[in-house]
Amino acid sequence: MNALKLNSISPDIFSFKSADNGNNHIKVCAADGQTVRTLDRDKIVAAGRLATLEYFGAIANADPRNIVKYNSKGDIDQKKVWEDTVLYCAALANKAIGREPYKTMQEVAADRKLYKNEIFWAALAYISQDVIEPLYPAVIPSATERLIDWRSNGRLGVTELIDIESNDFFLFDDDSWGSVSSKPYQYLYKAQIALTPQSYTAKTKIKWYQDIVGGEAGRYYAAFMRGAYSKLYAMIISKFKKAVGDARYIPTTLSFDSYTPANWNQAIMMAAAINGVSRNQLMAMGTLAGLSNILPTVGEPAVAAGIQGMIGDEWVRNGFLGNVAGVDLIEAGLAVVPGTQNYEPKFVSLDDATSENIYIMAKVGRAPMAGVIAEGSPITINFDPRETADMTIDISETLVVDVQPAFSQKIVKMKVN
Amino acid sequence: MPSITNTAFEVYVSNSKENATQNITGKFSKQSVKGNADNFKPDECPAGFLCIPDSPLPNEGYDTVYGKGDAGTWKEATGLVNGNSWYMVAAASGKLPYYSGDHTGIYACNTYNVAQAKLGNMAINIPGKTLGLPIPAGERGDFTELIVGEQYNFGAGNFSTLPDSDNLLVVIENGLLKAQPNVGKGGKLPTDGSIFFRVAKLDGRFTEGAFDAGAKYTLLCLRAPISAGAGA
Repeated sequence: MNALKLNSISPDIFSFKSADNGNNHIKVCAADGQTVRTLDRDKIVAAGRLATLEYFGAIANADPRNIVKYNSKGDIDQKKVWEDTVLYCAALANKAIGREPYKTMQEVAADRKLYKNEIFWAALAYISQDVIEPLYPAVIPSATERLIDWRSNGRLGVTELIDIESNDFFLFDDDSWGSVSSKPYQYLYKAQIALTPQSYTAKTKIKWYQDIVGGEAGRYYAAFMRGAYSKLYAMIISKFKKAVGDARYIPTTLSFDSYTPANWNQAIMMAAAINGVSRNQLMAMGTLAGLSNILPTVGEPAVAAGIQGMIGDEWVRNGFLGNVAGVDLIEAGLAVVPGTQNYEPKFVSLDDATSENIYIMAKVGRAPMAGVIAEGSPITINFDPRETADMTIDISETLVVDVQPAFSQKIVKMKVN
Repeated sequence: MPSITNTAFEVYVSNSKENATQNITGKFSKQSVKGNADNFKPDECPAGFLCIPDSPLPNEGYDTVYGKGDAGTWKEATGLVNGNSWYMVAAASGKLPYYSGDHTGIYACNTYNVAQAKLGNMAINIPGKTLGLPIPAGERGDFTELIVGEQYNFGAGNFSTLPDSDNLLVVIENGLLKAQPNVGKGGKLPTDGSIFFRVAKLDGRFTEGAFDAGAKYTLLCLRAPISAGAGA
């Protein structure tokens, strides 16, 4: 979880204002039975977002690898946010049948009919989507930002075609005055890639008493999000790695088998020239294991040079040098494979089993991968209560996305170890 | 499987809305994958083509994963597979071991996608047309389990031998349907517990837009008794 990313989330999303403000308020009697308080859907959505952010922030701060810490936006009562959410949905359901809104969670818990009420679940599903959607970009690991361009939302079932303009340019033949018309014709061809969103679904069960009546906002929303962003990250990394193994996307000449200072210089000169950018507009992405190898070396066999001096200070503190020959080094973390974390953890990584890889690419222009999210997505949540002993609710959570390699810019791959 | 013309599949009489697992996700393979994605031979799967699940599909993104190796290295680890999404292969016959009740374990290609065209490595959706759609090679689509007692509509292309009034018994052979003579006309009911069909309606027609879209055969899905039974 990237605390820096969480810190940089626009505060606008916490002042959510729906277009139809007037219909989103429900007055309920407070728990004391005397005062009246208002449940405001816009505030419930905003508080849900804040509660989710705080929940992820707490996870980020508990991770000792995170040097940057999440700046909490204040104490938030996760239970209270959740109670307001549930009471609001229950009030909507009651309103439809002419009953007065419930005041407390105890009343909600006591109404055994509520858990099968379609209005209640529909209201909760839409609040969940409104809470979760703007937070997605913030919790998807930041390294993928430079790997993928998310295009506009596509209509469900419609293929989004992306043009890759030709990067070819014309060759001038040596000519003589009377033979201009005899020179060969040259052509430019653009390519197209098709992005057709496909569905990816997680089907789960939650329990009425455990997760709804006794729930907490942050934990509830985070449960929806963590699997989805892990899947997206894994898909982006996996498709990127499949693409870089294809000579169509990375010509053999742009692939280096080892790191040496000479290889590094040659690689960045080539990357800068082919992409038409300067060196300081390049970046090198890899895992910590890979990036830590990018050090000046001397002699044969190569020995890291200057490691006892200033270079060593930065290397030890940061794990790798922040910038080598004008190129920023950017770390991409691992994604954990769900269900493996407690026994024999498995990971999705930019590295291979036998080698660590660095990818040098331009920071400007198009990212190597293109993605499209279908409208109504990234997330669609459906609740379906079941008549079970523990009153379970089936949930299906569907992402509708596609990710494809575009590689309109050229990437240089370097095995470093 | 090369493209077959006039294939179609419709669920006609079914309790599928109460059967959450009647539709599953699959990718069609020309040969058994045997749990190794390297054996996957993608091919187009025509509508109504009858298949059985072979091996679970690798879970996209989690298919190539690494575990901890020695001395700070990684080692390739077994990737995740999907819980209920499968490589599908042609059903050789209506006889499947381990299935004895209403569930048959035999699935008809029944994609809920829109029409999809393949041009080179591009798969392009063309929304609108939905009748008789095949699943393009290498793409995921839906497969509907045949349930004993339910009725399904198939196109003429789904038959290797078309039924007529004397040939109303239908068996499964290599993903297609094969009409056989009625009992009393030289035909015999299967007696091995396999799945077969009785043609419930011979003269149906599909309509697509404002046009006739070919013959429609309504089949009632049945399971043979283990010993010989009454005539169809």
